[in-house]
Amino acid sequence: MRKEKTLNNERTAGSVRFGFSRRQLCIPYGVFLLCFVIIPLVLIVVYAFRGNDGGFTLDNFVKFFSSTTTISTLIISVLLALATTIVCVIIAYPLAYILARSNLNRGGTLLMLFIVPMWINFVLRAMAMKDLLTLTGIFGINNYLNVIIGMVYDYVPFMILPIYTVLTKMDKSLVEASLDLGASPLKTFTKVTLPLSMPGIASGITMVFMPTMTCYVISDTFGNGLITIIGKLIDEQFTAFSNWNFGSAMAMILLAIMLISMWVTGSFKSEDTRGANL
Amino acid sequence: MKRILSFILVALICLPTFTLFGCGDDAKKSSEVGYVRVCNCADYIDLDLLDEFEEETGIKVIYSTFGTNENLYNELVINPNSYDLVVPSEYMIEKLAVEGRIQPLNFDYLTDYQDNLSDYIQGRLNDIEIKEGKYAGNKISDFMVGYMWGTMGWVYNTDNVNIEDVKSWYGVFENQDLSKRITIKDAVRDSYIIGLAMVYEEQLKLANSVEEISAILNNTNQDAIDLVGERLNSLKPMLYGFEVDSGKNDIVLGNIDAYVAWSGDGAYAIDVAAREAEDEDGELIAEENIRNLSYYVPDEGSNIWFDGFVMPSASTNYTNVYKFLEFISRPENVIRNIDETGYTSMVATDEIYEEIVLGWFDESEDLEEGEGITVDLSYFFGEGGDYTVTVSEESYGRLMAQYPSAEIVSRCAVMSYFDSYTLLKVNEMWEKVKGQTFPTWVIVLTICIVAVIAIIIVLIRHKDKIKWLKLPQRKTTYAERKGLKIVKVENLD
Repeated sequence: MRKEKTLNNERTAGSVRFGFSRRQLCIPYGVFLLCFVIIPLVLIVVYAFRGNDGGFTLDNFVKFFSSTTTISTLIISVLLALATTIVCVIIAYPLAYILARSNLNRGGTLLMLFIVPMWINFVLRAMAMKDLLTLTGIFGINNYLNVIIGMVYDYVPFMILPIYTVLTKMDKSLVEASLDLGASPLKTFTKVTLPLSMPGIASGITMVFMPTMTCYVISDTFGNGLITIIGKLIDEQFTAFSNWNFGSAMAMILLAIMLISMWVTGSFKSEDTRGANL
Repeated sequence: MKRILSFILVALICLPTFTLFGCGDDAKKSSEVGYVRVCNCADYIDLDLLDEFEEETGIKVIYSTFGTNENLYNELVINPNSYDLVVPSEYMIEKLAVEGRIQPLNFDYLTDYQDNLSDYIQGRLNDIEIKEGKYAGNKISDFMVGYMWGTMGWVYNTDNVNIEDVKSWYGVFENQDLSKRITIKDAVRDSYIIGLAMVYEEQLKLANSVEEISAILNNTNQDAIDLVGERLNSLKPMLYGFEVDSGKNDIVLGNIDAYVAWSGDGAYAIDVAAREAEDEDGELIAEENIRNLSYYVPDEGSNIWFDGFVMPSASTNYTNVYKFLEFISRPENVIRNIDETGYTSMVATDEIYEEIVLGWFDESEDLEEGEGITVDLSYFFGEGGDYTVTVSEESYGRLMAQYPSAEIVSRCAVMSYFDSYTLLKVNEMWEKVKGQTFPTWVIVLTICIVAVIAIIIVLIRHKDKIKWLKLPQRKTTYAERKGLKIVKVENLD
């Protein structure tokens, strides 16, 4: 009882020590969010509904959905992102499982090796990978294959990390209990480990699927400019065609798709495992 | 004490903000001392010159770079007073002048530049008239101090590509051996002009003057756009890819045999390939690494481009701007810039002829009488003077990338800017060329599949909330199904 009181006192003392209340400490973050998140989003929405004459219009959206080229590009982007995500899960899950269990990874050294490439600029990595592929002769077989290889190479750490986090945080006694009670190792995996690691997979998917839909630097580098994804289309509206309105409309449509896909993958998340979302 | 501490903390937090504002103040203050804000393409100047300019005049150069003309245009639209001098290409200068975003220069302060500028280039620039806006009737030469200029053509590997193939834009694509060994530019203007040259090949061959060629290469009718789109689309199976700056590496590495290049880039690629073929002592290394590259501007015609310094209309930093322009146009500094960047300056003086043309290219002493090709560059350096240079056949392409002959420039046209209406149409065409277009039924089918999957996922997610979806609960427990008997254990002690 006495101890609790002291704790309380300390806490109050902590917040007045600098002469700010918690609310006041939040102000810089609020200003930051307003300047760099809210206002840009509002600008995108404003531009998206503006015609070239400056008035309100829905033309930009009509143009997007009535053109088979833009829809085809969107479909290709989704398919490429989907393929990348699936390959990433297939590669990352066993790896994360091994890393989480293995003695090799004492002190996280092995994990570190997989994370280190993330510290190097990704354009540089992409170009190096392209040269490597050219050297081995894989490059040039198929441009779509090249792009998927490039994207998987670049984004697989984003899949490994959340799955690894979830697996290390998992209560091992559950697995032990399952094995003790007679379930086979396979059944233990499918009934205990896999369902418990779902939140990690889900957040890995959101972290890989969404960027790969727009990351046109990789599709340009690995596809030799012969593969256009939706991010490239948006970029060209701003850089080459000075059509900010159509570009913003496309960005908004993409945002809607992202939100929907997030909502769908959100089905795997439960409140108590939110920690897996990096 | 707490108050003081908190004050210090607040001050620390706010410090970056103050310094940010402080910078602005510094820039304003130093305007009395002198500064000039220059925005140029990357790798387009000898950076040591900027330090020397500062030493000589005390004027600080605030130097930055931009990626493409369009990016620069966006920057000028968002913040008109961000630079005192920028270096766009001729079509962007035209567009900026039409929109009144740049101001005419006073050439009374630039008499040396006026004297040294090539008369031929001056004439070509005078041909580009501003047709609309408050500067209607002016020429783009009233706005710009010429910097670099060049042409566009094929850079090709002479071992694998026949000279006859590159004599027309389409010829390369007819040689099946070059399948997947060619790249073109991932930039709509450059690819559009090539498309036009292919579609109107016959008319271009009949054209006799720059005006006629220019009219054909500036055609933006709907018909022309459609034809160009079709033609570019038909090239795709032959292409290694579209590129903006990887082409020069790919051709040196041997991944491709021909690529569309701006002359300065082409010169760079040819030089790098020649250097790669030698080791440190200048000895030739393994033969398979030698790539003999050359440059050719196809016979039917091509694009000629001019980059120059222009002054945004919001800038009032006149004194320093003119000092900088005078400095950068001095022949000795021009030579250093050519040396550093590999591009060709619009300034034409005897020093430059001797230093660059004779110094770099002349092989008359090594060649036998009657051998080699003699090129007359007097159109550029000044009519009446003796400005010839003799080169071997191997180096001819390299010289044409640096100083094209009078015959080449006479078939090269300036391409005007696309107005916003044309831009929309060209954009549509380019999207079709660059992207993959599925038939409508594929699109409809895909959308249906996605919708079905989404509905299923949503139903699974909300199955607890939807009554009719509730699965019948298992009535039996695991033990009951297995026929196990449950014994209640009491009093374990």
